[in-house]
Amino acid sequence: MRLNKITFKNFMPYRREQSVVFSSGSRNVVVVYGDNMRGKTSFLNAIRFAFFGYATARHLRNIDRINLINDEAKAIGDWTLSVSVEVETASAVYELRRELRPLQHVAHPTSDADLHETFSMRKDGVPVTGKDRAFEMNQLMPEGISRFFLFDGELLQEYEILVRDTESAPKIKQAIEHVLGVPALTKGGDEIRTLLNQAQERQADDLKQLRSLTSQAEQQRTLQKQIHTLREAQARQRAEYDKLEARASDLQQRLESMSRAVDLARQLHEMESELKLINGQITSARVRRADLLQDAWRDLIEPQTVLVRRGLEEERDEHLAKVRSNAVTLSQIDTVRKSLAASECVTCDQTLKPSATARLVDRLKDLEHALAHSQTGLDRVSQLSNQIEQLAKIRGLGLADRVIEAERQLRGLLVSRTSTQNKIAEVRQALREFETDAVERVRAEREQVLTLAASIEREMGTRAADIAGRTRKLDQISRMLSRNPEARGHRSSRLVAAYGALDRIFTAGVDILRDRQRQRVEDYASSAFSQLTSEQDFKRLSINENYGLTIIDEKGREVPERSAGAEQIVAISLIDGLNKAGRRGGPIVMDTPFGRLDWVHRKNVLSFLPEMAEQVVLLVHEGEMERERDLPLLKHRISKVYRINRISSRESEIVLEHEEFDS
Amino acid sequence: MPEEVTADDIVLDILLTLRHEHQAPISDRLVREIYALQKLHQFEAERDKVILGTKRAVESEVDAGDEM
Repeated sequence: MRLNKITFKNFMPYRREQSVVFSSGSRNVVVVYGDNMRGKTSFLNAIRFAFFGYATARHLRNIDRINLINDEAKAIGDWTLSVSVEVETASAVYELRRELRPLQHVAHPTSDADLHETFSMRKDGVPVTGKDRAFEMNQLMPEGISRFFLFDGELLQEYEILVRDTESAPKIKQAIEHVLGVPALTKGGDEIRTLLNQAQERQADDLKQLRSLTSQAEQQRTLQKQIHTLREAQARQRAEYDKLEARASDLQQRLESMSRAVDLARQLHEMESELKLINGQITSARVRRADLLQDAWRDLIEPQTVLVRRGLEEERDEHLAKVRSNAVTLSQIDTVRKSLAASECVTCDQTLKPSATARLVDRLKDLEHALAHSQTGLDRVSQLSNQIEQLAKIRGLGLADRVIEAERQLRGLLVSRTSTQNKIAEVRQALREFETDAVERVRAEREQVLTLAASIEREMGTRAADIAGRTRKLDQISRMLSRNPEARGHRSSRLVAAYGALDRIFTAGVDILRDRQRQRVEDYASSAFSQLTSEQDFKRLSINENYGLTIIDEKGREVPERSAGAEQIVAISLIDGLNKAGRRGGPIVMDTPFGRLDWVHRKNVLSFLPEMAEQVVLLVHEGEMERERDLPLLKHRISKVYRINRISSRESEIVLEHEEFDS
Repeated sequence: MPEEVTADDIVLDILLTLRHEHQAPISDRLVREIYALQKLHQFEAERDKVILGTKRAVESEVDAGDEM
């Protein structure tokens, strides 16, 4: 099975309808970047909700459905939510669509009870309903195994704690055994046992008529009645126990959300310190910018002064040309005057005729007129030269780039300040929702519930042992009766023999299967671990009964303490082991998988991930997977890079940043 | 362990080996048939169909007297 596309509307922070397209094949990795609290886990929950109808918070607690609807949408009275997923198998394309909407006549839902959920499935465009739909769903993505393929990196880190924790360990073990196919034998054994009981009842009825076997048949009948009564009582206790466990789980969820107050207070303190730091940086940036601007006016007006200077230089050159022209005119006037005074040409010494004299007089007038109208002089040239010299002194200092950089830094700091102020406002709002005195009340109630549940569990254990003892006795009688030549003539005895044989085979098979699968998981996980770890001394992993993994060093010793990063590597190795030992392929969606990994481990995991599953979707923040450094490691395997953008504190959107990422 | 060995192969191998070890009065075919049904049931699907199928398979073998 592979994911083709997911579309959601009003789901948690995703208000408007938006889609993400997945990929497979050689480019089987999709990366979704998002800062903390922007909606990475909500994205994972959208997939989970589409398949199974629920979303989980930490420690696998379910989130109330009413809280899945986007807050902004609810604020304007829109109480609807939809998520649809398109998936593809080798034989068909499926569309799963799940919606929430208020019940009729409910304007403002206040709890899950006020909401109506619809779920539809189409297979190659044809609606699938009823039992067929349940069957198809289990073929696509059985809920029991989803935990290890739609997972939260934070949960991975806590994997060992969960395995050790008395409350969580059975659930985790059950989920792992789902992946490994154990329920086919355990549930199969239960069903065969039911059929065996029916056959035994029939056998008792048949054999009580045989005089020689009356006593055994009667004993068989009595034991059956006792077991039946005990099982009914056990079922009632089981229902009561489940109810208490669900209540304890709710209370635990509330406690965890309350303990979040401590985290929030710490975050608030950190952000307030950060804001103080940013404010200081803004002040420094403003001072630096002011300093630069003191001299930067020269850079700003320099282009203008150059223009003016060029104009003045042109004007000066014109004046100089005129001065030179006037000197020539003056020389000509002097020559003409001398010729007129001597009545002879000063050039050729010939006596001037009256007509020539008249022409010279006219010529003199023209020259004098030209000279008189020529408005120039050396004073003006000198004045212009002075101005040019003054302007030449105004030169820029090359500060423009530095001013621009200072301005850019200041703008960046102002944006950071606004962002930090917004975050502080969000955290303060979240903190207001916690009542400190409520914590103790919830804790006390949870203790009471757990005590009662433990007492019922003990009683159930005693009763189960009683049932098992009587069942063994019943089986002995049944086997004995089935071997009796008289009894074997009856069909019911042959059926008891057949069901009894199946029961023994399935029951004995469970432990053998567990052992073999555990060994396979250990082998595969060890192989993955050796590729992922950078620690040369770590040689392999060892698995225990609860599927907890221990690191074994080169001398065969257990490594008692391990870092959060090593914890994560071990958990990823387990996922790979489970995938190879029991799963039929499918996507892996990882939320914050690199949180605590150093560069070397991150590099190892990034190289390993594309081979881990048919499809890999990584929900990451920049801090754990840097674009420039980490993305190139996956460049030939990434088909798309998305980013979750903040619209407001209660709204985000996913946008496609790259396709066929190559650089 | 070779890559191509599936969880199904392992379970069937275990069940058939146990059948022979226990000298159970049932056939390999019945074991395979019951496992195929129970495999379907392990994820809570088609419970009634699986129980009915198991019952029919056992009764059919008992009535036919195969290997009993």
